[in-house]
This record gives sequence, C-alpha cells and structure tokens, in this order.
Amino acid sequence: MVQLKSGYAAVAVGLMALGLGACTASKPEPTVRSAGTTAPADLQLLCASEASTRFGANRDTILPVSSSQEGANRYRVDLTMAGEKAVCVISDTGIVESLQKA
Amino acid sequence: MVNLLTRFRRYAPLLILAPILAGTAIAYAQTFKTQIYDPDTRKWYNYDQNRAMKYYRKHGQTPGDFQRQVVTFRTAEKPGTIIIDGDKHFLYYVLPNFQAIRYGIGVGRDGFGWAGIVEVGRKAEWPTWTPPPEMVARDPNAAKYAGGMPGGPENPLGARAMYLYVGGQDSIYRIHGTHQPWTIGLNISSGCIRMVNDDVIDLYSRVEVGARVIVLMQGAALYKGV
Repeated sequence: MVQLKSGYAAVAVGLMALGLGACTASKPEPTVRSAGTTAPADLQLLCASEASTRFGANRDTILPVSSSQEGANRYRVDLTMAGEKAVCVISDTGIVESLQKA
Repeated sequence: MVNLLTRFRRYAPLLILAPILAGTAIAYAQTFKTQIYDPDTRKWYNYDQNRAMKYYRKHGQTPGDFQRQVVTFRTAEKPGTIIIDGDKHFLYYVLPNFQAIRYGIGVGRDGFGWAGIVEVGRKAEWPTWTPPPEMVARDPNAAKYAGGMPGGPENPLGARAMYLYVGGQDSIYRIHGTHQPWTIGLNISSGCIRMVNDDVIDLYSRVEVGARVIVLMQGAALYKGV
C-alpha cells in the first residue's frame, strides 16, 4: 500500500513537472530590444524587392531608409530609389498592402 | 571653433569616403541604442558600456538575443547575402528556405552610422590593424602601431575581417572580430561592424568574396548609386 501511494506521488510529481514544463515552454522573452521601433529587416527588404519589381528599378539603387510601426500588425517603410522616394506599407506577415512613389 | 574641430574629427572618416562614393548622398545617423530587460526589477535599462561590461563579466557571454542562432527570414535575397540591421544590432546571413543565421553586432557610434549596399571585396584571417592617421595623431597607443599592428588576440580587428568594397574600391569599413566581446549591442565603432571572434570565424567560413551586403540604419545615408 505504501508502495502504491509512492507510485501515485511519483505520477503526481511527474504531472506537476510536465505542467510546469508546459508553462515555461512558451516562446522566450526577448533579453534585449532597440530603444526605437523599426520594421524587421526582412520586411523592409521585401518592400525594396517589391518596389524593384513594380517600378522596374535596379535593386542596387533601392534601399529602405526608415520605418515605423503603424497599428498593431503593419509597418510603414520609406524607400529611396535612384533619387526618388517611395512609401510601402507591409503587414507583419509579409504582405505588401500598399506601395507608391512619394 | 572647438565645436567645429570636434565635428570635423567625427566626420573625417566619412569625408575620406566622399571621392570614392562620388554622386552619393551622405547623412549622419542618430543610432538607436540597445536596452536590456532585468527580470528581477521587470524593467528595461539602457545597455551602455558599463552595463555591457558588467553583464559580460557576470555571464561570460553576451545577452541571449545577441548569440548566434538560426531564425526565420522572409527575403528574396539569395542565400549567402549579408543583411545588417544596425538599429537592432543584428547581422543576418541568408540561408535557403527563408532562414538566416542571426549574429549580434556592434555598430558605429553617433555620427558614424551608415547605410548602403556594398560587397565583400576581400577576406583576411588574423588581419593586421592599421590605425587611421587621425587616430595616430591623437592617441599615443595607436601611434605605436602607425605601421600596422600584427594580427593576434589583442588586435582590435579580432580573428577575421571581411573588407567591404564599393564599386571595386575599399570602403574603409569592415566586418571584423573584436578583443572586446562585451561591446556587442553597442554603438561604439567608427563605422565598422564588429562581432565576437567565434561568430566572425563562423561567418567568415560561410561568406564568399563578392557577397552582397545590405546595411540598414534608420536615418543614415551613404548609398552607392542611389
């Protein structure tokens, strides 16, 4: 009987450990951040790539120069391209929502 | 007058670049600084030199986010491309299948940040460091190495260097290692991109001469051909 109780205890401890594990297995919190908010680099470059395609510009002349968060799920990315400017709005899933010359 | 001299000293390296980058725009970035989260106080703090040095002394490594890791990276850039996010202090090496290796970096201090599209022009193991003339003039320690400091563990360029070229000419900027690993995450250099030695050795082994390097930094400008 004592052995049975010990068995239950072991299972209970195991489940608790699993439960704790599940609690702590979530995505780790960031340890650092930038003091300013910019769009993720890959999204900035997706905007540049789309601008190259849409406007027929040489990709070596297009560069994101600034970006900011617009609402919860999208970013504005300002592009320079061969002396011209363009503004891109991209969702955090990587969909270009708008792109036009400024 | 003192102000003017200080400004000249600050921007001198960029002025040197002017003839190389004829026709390009040059502006100066106010680089975003890093903040670090303290789980004890549940607050964010500025990650300055003192805090960075203390952190490194205590943990023997840089904060977790600055350590080398594979991340999702949605890009049309081809594998082998290097993308530098100067605002967040990350360097990405593009892998196939929308992935990249992310490394922590140190970047240029205020006035020394830049953005542009360059390429890896050459690579060197345990590179020689030659301080620029203005540093030789103001710093007796640097003056000792006016003719070049041989590669080694005390060399500021660290274990490896990748020299960034524009239009076939040396831009004076490099991606290199460091003998001060706690400086990752800081705005501290004269425009070079620094990495801990283990990381720069890893990157060096992957990167090919001719690789495209895209440098993003909010508010900075120094673009070839733009």
